Amino acid sequence: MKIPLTGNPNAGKTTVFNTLTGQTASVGNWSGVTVAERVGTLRKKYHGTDHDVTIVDLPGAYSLSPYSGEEKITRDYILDESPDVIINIVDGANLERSLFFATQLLELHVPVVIAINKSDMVKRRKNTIDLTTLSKVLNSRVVLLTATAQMGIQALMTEAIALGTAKEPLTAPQLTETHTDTTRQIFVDDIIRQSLVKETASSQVTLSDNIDRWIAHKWLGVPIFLLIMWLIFWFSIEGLGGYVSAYFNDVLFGEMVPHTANRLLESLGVHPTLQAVIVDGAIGGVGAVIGFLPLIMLLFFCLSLLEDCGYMARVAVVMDRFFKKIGLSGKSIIPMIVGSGCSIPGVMATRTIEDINERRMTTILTPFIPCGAKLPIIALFASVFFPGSTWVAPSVYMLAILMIILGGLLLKKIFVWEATSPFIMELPAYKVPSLRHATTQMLVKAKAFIYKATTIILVCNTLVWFTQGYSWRLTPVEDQSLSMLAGIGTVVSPILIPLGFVGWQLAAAAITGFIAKENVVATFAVLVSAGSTQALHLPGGALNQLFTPVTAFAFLAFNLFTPPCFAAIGAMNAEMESRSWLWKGLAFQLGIGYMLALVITQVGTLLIYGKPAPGFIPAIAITIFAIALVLATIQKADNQRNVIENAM
Amino acid sequence: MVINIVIGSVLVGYIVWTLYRFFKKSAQGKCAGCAIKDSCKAKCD
Repeated sequence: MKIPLTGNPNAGKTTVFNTLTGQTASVGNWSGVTVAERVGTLRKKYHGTDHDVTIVDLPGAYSLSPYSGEEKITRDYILDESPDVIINIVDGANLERSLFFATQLLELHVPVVIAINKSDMVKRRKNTIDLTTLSKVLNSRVVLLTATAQMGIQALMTEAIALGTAKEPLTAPQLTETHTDTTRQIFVDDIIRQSLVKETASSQVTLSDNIDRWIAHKWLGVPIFLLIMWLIFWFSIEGLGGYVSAYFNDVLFGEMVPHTANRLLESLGVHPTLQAVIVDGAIGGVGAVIGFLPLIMLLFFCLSLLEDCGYMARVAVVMDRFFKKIGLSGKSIIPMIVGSGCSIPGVMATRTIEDINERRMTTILTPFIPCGAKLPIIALFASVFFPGSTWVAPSVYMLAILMIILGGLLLKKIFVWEATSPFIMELPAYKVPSLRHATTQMLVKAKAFIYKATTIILVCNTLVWFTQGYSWRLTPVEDQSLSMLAGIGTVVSPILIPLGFVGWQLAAAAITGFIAKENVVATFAVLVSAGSTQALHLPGGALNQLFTPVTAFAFLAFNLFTPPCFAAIGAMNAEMESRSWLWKGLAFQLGIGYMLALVITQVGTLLIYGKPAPGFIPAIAITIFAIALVLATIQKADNQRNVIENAM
Repeated sequence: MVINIVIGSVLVGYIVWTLYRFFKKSAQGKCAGCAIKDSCKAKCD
């Protein structure tokens, strides 16, 4: 039996889906979280029959006449896949709007169960829904639900399976003879009058409205957003997260695990070289990355709470004003927030943007938001070069937002774009965030992080250890600078000198970072453990031989803004729908990351130390060339725009 | 001696297998290479 879950965006479909199937699909208290169908099997405790019940979570839709790509997915599924019964999740707090779509579904001659979700919110507003009247007027099964508390789920599935087994749709309610949107809305309004008893008038100012006066304020919205983000990053990276991470780095992966592994391997009689590969290479590299797991978990826990309480939807609205000026809309914010977990789903979330130009711009700019993989780099450099500072991590995120805006302006100038689409977003009511949901999301992200660390990161660092300890003739080397890795790094390092990055080690870390960003930290861990006795992550540690605080911040920026990892590039390729645009996007990211690092190093060194950084003269030449290239490209784009305008 | 061969073989085998899987998944793009695909809703099949 196939049962799709339909309903307006943010009605709670994914929460119901997770409860019914036991999955942990990401939910968000905003519209547009689900952009493709997701399939799961109904848990046994919810069906008393022998049926195999498949539950399909569909993207939110306001009507069967699709406006966006994800609404089309929903319509096509309902019309083409012949579901046995449809569960239409209706937002009880927004009954007027939700029933419009419900009445369209009822006319499809497919059995439909109407599940009125958020009944707790209805009750809190002191409103009452007359289920008997509603069921009678709609001629349909109606069930009351509070999905977040898993209330009403059993009753819902009993009704749905009974209706699906009978395979006899109830007769749809009769509208007027002509089914226009206006007559349908009049019909829905009439249903509301009959079935909803309101003690709180729609015009009454709610608590959500009052909070929004400040949170989504034209001028205060941005400073409040910055303050909230600063608090979260301070707490997770510098505060509790940093404290626990320090224990992981110093004690767990600094002493306990390597000592235990060494003792075990020695007792087994393992050859010292193999022992070093495992302990210094594999365990050392992985330990350096996993050491930052606590702060990553805390950050995602806090971000999940923010999403769940409804704040992130306000951020999109607040940022819409600024994004419009660079040819984007607040809709582009959603992929960027999703991208803070991992750039790949962030890039894929751009498909909710209808306009192809806006989508391409968002795809290019989304990886600028630091994803979970980049957090260890931020945390490492913050702890080594800026100990006790609370501004480093938040400033990196602020820098990311600034670069998105500047990058957007530049993209708008150097490429020919068409008009942007309007941004309409329904603001969900604020609610107390679910600790359970936040914990689940945190654990999912932690699991993904550990998986990555124990697969590709582990392998890369084993190879880094091998290549830094052996020459091209496969003989061990005492001096790292004679190794294979030094040879590879030396070829690339001249390109990085104008950025103040002197040394093959930096080039090697940057290269491994393109495979997976966590590799930057792990590569340094392996190189340092093999060439120095100083700790990697402590202030005044081995990294101070490679960087000044200024070049360290520039290296951070370089790794954050240059193209993302291989897998994210694969996602960009898929969403851009054009190989030429993929290359343009990657060149743009590389250019932004390179020039930003160059400016930070050269200007920062001159201002702070009063002397030019290494590579000052080449840096000036590169800057002049970059400016000339950008101006020429803008000129070319202007000419193209003139040709298009004259032709119209 | 035997333990060295066993551990060395396992290590090399794991490296080859992981690299093969990683680059194959990355080349596929989208979900295959995604770290949080199990919980993400921006999915595709």
